Amino acid sequence: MRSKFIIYFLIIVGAFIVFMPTLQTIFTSFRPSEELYHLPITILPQHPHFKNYVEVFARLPFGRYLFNSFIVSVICVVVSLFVASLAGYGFAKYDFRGKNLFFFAIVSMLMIPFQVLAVPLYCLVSKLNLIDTYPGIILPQVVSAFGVFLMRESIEDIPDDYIDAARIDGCSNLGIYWHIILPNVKSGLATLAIIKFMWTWKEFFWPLIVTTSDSVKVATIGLAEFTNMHYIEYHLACAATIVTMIPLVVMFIFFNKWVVAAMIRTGIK
Amino acid sequence: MPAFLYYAFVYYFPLAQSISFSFYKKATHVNAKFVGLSLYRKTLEDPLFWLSLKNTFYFVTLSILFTVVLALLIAILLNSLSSHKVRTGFAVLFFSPLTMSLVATALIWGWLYHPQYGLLNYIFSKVGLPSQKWLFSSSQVIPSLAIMQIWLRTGFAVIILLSGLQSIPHEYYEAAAIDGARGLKSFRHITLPLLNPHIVLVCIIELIFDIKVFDLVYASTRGGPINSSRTIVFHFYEIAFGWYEFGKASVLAILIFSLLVGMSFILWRFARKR
Repeated sequence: MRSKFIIYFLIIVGAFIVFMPTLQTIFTSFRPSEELYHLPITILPQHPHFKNYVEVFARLPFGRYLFNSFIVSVICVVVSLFVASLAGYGFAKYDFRGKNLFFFAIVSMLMIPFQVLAVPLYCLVSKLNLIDTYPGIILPQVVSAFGVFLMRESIEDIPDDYIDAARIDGCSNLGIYWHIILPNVKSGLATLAIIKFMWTWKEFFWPLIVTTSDSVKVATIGLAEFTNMHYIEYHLACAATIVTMIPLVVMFIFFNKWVVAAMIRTGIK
Repeated sequence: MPAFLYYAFVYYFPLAQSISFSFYKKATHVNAKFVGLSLYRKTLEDPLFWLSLKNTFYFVTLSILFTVVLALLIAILLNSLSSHKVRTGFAVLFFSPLTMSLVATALIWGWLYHPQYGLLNYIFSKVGLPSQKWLFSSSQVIPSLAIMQIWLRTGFAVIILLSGLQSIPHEYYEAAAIDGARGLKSFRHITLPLLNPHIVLVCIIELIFDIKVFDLVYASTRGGPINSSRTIVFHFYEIAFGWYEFGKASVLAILIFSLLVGMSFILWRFARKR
């Protein structure tokens, strides 16, 4: 009984420490700016108000940024699900020459810091005249090496008998992919969709170098615009942070069963 | 098969593209070959390069060590909870920092670390500790950044380790208990060896993420104060996009990539041997 109490105590303390920065952000987002630089420091806002949020949307076209983030993320999710599941199917269920080499080539892409690829990518995108457009932002993000890895792992779990049976019944390769493979890896797809959405939503570096006009900027860029070298408007930045977090948190609450379950199941073996 | 080949093509096209990008960077390097290997020499002679390498290693060591140890601790604590719902709930809570973008993280922690108005110094003063300069001190900046990274990444490690712990059959512990092994002893002889693959996985993932650290540095310190938080990728960024020396940057890019592959390989081999 006592050890149980200690365990709970430790976990709650840990959770509190982990949650504290988020809590502080929420509090700060409701503070008037004068209160920020006022001693002594108070933990709770003394005169909480909602103006910071209004200000965030008034100062910048933040709604537009959020919309852009949303569009970019959704397109990336859809395309990468499609590509990753097909590639995963190929890697898991077919033998061809150099299969392992190709697979290694893809997974090793995970190790390259994105910044390293940025220069040639930028040249390419500008050659295609895609600078400052949606396709320009989306192009380097649509293929997910992690997704291929994840899909291969989950598709390998499907028994070969299913595929053989379908083939005997006259199903084409594409038909097998559509009718057998996809329905069987739903939770893997869900995991990938969630993770990919999170990554794209949070992406900062590439949109930073490729966008210049308000109509295509994404929310993370907007967030950074509340800071400059010398002065950071923390009350606004915190409010903007909360706004950009909300979609992910909502998604997380709705799908956390999928995320955790699928992570445990597909094993990250 | 034709359908598959077609789709393989659809997929390999982007892959080929990415590979060609990596050749691209080599291509710029080849173009610069008129100066031979002198770019390599220049890069290796640059004290900033070595400084940034040192900073990166310092950062990586701190982050990996604490992330893995803390995550292991939390995962073990969570694993000993009996209710599945409570366990998942807490796991999600520990995972929650990952919903925050790196820029937001840098902002929030910048505010927490604020020497005068930040919450951390406030708590320190309440507990009776002297206030710290955090990101503004050249000796504290890397540990402070590492704390941010640990805060972000621990939840991910917790989930992987937790799934590993849950895959260990209960009978092992019961058998060990009959043989008289409890507590630490069973941890040492059952949990650690069986969890080893998961720990290695976490280490490799964290290694990759930590060496690649960029956004945090960019959004919070820009390598300062006086280069004391200049990490290798930030160094690369500044050479490429600050000074537009693409040739030099490509050399760095190749070095960073070989470093990452080499380190993960060593880690992997090391883990295999044990």
